[in-house]
Amino acid sequence: MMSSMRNSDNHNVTQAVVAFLCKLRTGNSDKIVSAIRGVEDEKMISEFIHSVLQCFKRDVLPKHFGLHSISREYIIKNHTAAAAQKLHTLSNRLAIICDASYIRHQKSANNTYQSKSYSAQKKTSLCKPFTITTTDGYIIDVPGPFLATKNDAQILDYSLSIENGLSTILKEGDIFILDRGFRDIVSTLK
Amino acid sequence: MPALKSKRNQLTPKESNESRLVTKLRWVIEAVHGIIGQKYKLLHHQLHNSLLPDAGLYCRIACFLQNRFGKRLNSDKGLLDEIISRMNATKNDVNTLAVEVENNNWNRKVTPFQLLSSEELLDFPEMSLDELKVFFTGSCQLSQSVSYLAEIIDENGSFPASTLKIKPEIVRF
Repeated sequence: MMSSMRNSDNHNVTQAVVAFLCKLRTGNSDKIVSAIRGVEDEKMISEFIHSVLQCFKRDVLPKHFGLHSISREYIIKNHTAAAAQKLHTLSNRLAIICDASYIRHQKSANNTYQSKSYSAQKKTSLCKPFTITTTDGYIIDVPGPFLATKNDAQILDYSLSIENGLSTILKEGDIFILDRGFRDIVSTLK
Repeated sequence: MPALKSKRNQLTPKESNESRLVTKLRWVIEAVHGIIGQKYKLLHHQLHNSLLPDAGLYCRIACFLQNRFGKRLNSDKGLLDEIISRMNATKNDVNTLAVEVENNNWNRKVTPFQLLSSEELLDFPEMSLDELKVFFTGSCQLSQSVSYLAEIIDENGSFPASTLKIKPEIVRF
């Protein structure tokens, strides 16, 4: 899958992937990861992570993740929970669940961004990735991250309006399962 | 979307049943967020600013890995049919007790209650764990009810039940 990565003298693909996963799973800094992995130089870890990130961006994600990698029929057939099927008698309609999650981050020195990324609800700086899943927990796509000042309804509105976005797999009669944060957009969806 | 309460004290039974139909499916996304936060700590902790431009990419990678290697979520496998049919059957039921309380104004004035001992409460229904799951329409609600129970139990392990003086078949906990 990761075809663009090459082994070289000081650059081993397995080593790089392990370092990357270690970072992602533990959330430790490059320095700690380099100590755990027994790599002398922490710069090497950040190079590893950078190359794995680029490789995911180029090779893996476009083909295997996101709206464009799967079809509407595939989702209906393989990723619809039995409970949803029976509860709403779907019969070839799509049921998707949307919600925004959040990632906290440090304060930004960029003043305009800082004021837009501060969430008064959580009292901290954050950005909001928007998750779209099927009823059995298969993640269709994660657009974003969006600014913290946007609410769920605005984000969904935006995701629907962009070209090649969510609207490509939707048809009339599909079901959205949402929480109360989306109340502003209910009329548009209908 | 679940119903909004706004300024009322309580949702109507119809609205709360509809909310249940939504929640029955919507828990999945909260579970997915929880799993990703738990597995991929980088996204759960405070993110370093230098990683900020790649935040979306990190999210997509974590979600891709979850799709590929994580389990699909499915609750109450064996009991699903019973639960769904119960939810559908009772969707439009009327809360008769609430109507009676409302009509007799029991919620507005002081109503005489009589303390009840366990000897008097003999015809209280006994249910198995599976029957309870169907009754509560899911295992999540069942585990919640345990903590409700813990709230009303006193330190001797007994809980105060009382009956209405004018109509002893109504029991209050």
